[in-house]
Amino acid sequence: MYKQYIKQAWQLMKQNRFFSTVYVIGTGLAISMVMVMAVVYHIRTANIAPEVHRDRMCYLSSLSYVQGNMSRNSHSYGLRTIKECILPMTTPELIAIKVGPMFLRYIVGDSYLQIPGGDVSPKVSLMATNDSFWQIYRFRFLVGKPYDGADVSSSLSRAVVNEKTARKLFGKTDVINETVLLNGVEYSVCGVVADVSAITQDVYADVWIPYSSIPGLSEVSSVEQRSSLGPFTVCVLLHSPRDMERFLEEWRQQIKQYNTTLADGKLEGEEPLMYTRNMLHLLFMQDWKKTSFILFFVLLLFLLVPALNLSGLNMSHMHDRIPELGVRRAFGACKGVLLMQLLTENLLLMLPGGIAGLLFSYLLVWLLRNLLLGSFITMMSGGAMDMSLSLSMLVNMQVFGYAFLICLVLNLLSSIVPAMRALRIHITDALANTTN
Amino acid sequence: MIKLTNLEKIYRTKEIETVALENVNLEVQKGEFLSIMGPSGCGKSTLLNIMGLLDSPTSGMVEINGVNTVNMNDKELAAFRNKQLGFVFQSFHLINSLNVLDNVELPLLYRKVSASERRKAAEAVLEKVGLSHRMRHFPTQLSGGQCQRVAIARAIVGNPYIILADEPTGNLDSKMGIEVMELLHQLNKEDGRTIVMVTHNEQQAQQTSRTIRFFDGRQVQ
Repeated sequence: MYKQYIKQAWQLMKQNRFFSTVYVIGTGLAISMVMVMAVVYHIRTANIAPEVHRDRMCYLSSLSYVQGNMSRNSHSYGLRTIKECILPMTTPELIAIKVGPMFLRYIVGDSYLQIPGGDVSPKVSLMATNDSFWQIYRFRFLVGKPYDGADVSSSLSRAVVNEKTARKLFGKTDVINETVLLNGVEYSVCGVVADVSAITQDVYADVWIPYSSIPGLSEVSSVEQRSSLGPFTVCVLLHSPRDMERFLEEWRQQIKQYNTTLADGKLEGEEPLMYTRNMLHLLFMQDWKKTSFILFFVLLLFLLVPALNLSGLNMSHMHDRIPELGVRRAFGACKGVLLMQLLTENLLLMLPGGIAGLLFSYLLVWLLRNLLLGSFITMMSGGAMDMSLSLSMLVNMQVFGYAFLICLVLNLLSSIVPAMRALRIHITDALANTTN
Repeated sequence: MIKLTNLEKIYRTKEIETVALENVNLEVQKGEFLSIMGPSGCGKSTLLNIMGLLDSPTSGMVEINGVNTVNMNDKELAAFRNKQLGFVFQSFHLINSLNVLDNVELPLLYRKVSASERRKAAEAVLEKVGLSHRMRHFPTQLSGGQCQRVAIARAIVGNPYIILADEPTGNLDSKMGIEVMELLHQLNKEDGRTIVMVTHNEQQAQQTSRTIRFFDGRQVQ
């Protein structure tokens, strides 16, 4: 039966070329708006290299130190808090810590890299991490390897650089054990990784170094507030997203326990969220429920407006097919079967539009990538921002799934009312086509 | 085969009430070729539509093959029409976006019949109506007579007991009309199918086994 629907839909497309063209273009444009949202959402939330575990990640980045009723200082995590409170936690699979390019600019100023005695000293985006960082995030090492736990413990000046920087400085990528000067301090290159896009903003940098190699980061202050708060973001990899509740419970306990060791104040942390929720929370500055509602409303609006337009097109198209529906009903088709047929045919007509819309949305996302995918943090990171989009970010089953789902919803919204109205017409009227 | 008892059909609008059929009592026997005649607007097509379960009477009973159809729902009516009735319309009502073979297969599409069986049955009836060489053509590529023969093939492909034909030669020239009538007579005589035909053509009516006449919604003969 469906084979015949496909055949008929194809014939109808051929016979009504003008309608089909308008419909495909209309659908394509309508879908592209929603697809842009879907593609951006996918790029922001899916597991995309090097951030290959986003679905199991949560970030701890906001903490307040409260003294009495009056004084409250909010910042990221300090090294003492991390060492005493976070690293001993047992629920996570791995815990990485990092100081991103924006915070590092406040600590060490703009970062410049050069070969000793060299003329070139490009401004780079710098990130300081521990060794677990390299286990959580999957970078593609062209040569060498990341610095390890021993390097971090020994505060060795090791550096991983990206391909672009290696080529800029040395004209090649095979630069293991070469010495570079980072703001005048000698570092030894231990690895070169393929360039990462600034779209993966949690790991984006040109150069990565052990946090312990920067004196201002590795020392624990004797002042309670300074040691508790700091510039660190904690990147937690859970065994499973289902561990989040258990992790939260352990985190609350750890903070509570840590507070008993403080003499002058106490820590109050913003409860961590899973990666996607946190990302949406940062984007909309609303709680999860409100954010979901806003997203749903916007999506519905984006779908409803084109659906109403397409519905008008469908209405006139359906009018031409009323005698056919009468014949089909006369020969034994019930309304339910015909409704399915009309929806299926319409979906088939919508799919080329969906493909066109998807391609158009790729073009829009690519053209507007800085606007849609850039962030304040990456803009402030220093260095030249690389907002490249890889093929795998755009072309994948999840995005196709979104596109199909959107087509399906748009199909239902735009064709169900015209189809039901056409099927409400009495068979004898349909056969006589006295519908006006 | 078909039994209509005290049948009445009234069309009501806000302002007027039009009686289309009034107290019709009629029995059509198995294997009969009945023709219905009367002036335009006398209710003969309405009667055929009610017999074909395409329309419902305002009151009265429609019994087909011993089954009272009055209280059937849309799904039951559709299934009943599909198995027991075949339709031939004056304006053919072929689906232009389907080729001849697919048009003929149509009634079988709504039964649980495999694609290969559908194809086989459709090919057989097209052979019977002499159009096996036009199977891949589209209706717009056929003459009126050929279209009507396709419509007849579609009406008989599901082996219905009854064929209801509403002015089947009304849109055809006399030569093609004769061909179509010959085909209907062949189906009646050779296959034993019951045929009820609405016609304006006295000559065609005389060739059938019985003729009834309508005037102003009432059977007058």
